[in-house]
Amino acid sequence: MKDDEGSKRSAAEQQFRREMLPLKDKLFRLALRITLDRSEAEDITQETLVRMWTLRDEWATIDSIEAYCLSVCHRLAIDHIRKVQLHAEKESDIIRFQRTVVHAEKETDERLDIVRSLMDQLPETQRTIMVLRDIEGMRYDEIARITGLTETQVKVYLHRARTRIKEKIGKKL
Amino acid sequence: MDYKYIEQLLERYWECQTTLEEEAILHTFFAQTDIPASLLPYRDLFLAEEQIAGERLGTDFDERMMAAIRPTEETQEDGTARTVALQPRKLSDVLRPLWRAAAVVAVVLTIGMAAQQGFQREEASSGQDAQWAMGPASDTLQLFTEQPQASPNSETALTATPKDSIAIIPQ
Repeated sequence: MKDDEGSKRSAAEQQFRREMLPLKDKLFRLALRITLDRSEAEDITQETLVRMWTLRDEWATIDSIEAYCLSVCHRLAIDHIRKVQLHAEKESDIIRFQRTVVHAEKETDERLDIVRSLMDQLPETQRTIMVLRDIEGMRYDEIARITGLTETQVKVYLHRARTRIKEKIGKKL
Repeated sequence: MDYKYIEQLLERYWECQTTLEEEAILHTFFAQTDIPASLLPYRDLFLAEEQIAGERLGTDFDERMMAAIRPTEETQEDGTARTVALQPRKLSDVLRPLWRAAAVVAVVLTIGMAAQQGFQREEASSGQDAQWAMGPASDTLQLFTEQPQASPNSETALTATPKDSIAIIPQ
């Protein structure tokens, strides 16, 4: 009985390594664009994957592991920023700190820094959709599933995000 | 070089009418260095997106991740998977510290009340002792006051006074 359980867990671990662990960077980028905080994004990525592990008995019933993982990650990241927003008086300090952390990475090109800063300033939903479409290259129906929006809403948000960036690039650069 | 196709593609991109394949063409186009001045401002958007796409977790993440899920197996003796406590906190969990504080207050009050009752009992019993002691003392006093009448010439009756007898009563 114990051997059966052991081999079952071992098989699950292999599947986890094969199908879920490789999604880590994708999850991380999504969490990072939502939270704008590397450390929080890493924690959210780990929490997403741990949560997937606890659901291992249900993996067979999930039709797209990737979409499911991104959906869990999206929810956790949204929960996180809502908690942060509850501390309204500290928010501006936190966001300023987060942006400093994000942009302190290897960036030397000032122009790219400006564009990334413009992207960071977009509302959360627009940022999320932009990262899923323009960085992860996901289809509209997949994005709709992950975010819980309709495809039309996804396109509307993306259109707003791209238009805003286009206008600001025109002004700033 | 004719950039009309790219310009058209870009216009459709802003309107969210491009397919994923067409967007990949735009990314490839803007990744090169030879870009006309009219399109140059938009290059930075695609380059910034490429840069974001390159953001990755550290190399030690995998091992930390596997370590995070392994203890869940090892701690269970019956072989069943243990659920990691990542659920939202329940109300009972949130109130637990308050219950603990209430329990501490209750214990302190109980001990305090018990101690107070003990003292009261002690005081009451010490009062009874005094009354008990006063009995023989009164008898003794009574004896001295009565003795002179019985034998007025005896030595004891002349030297012993009620005052002396009081001195030998335990305080």
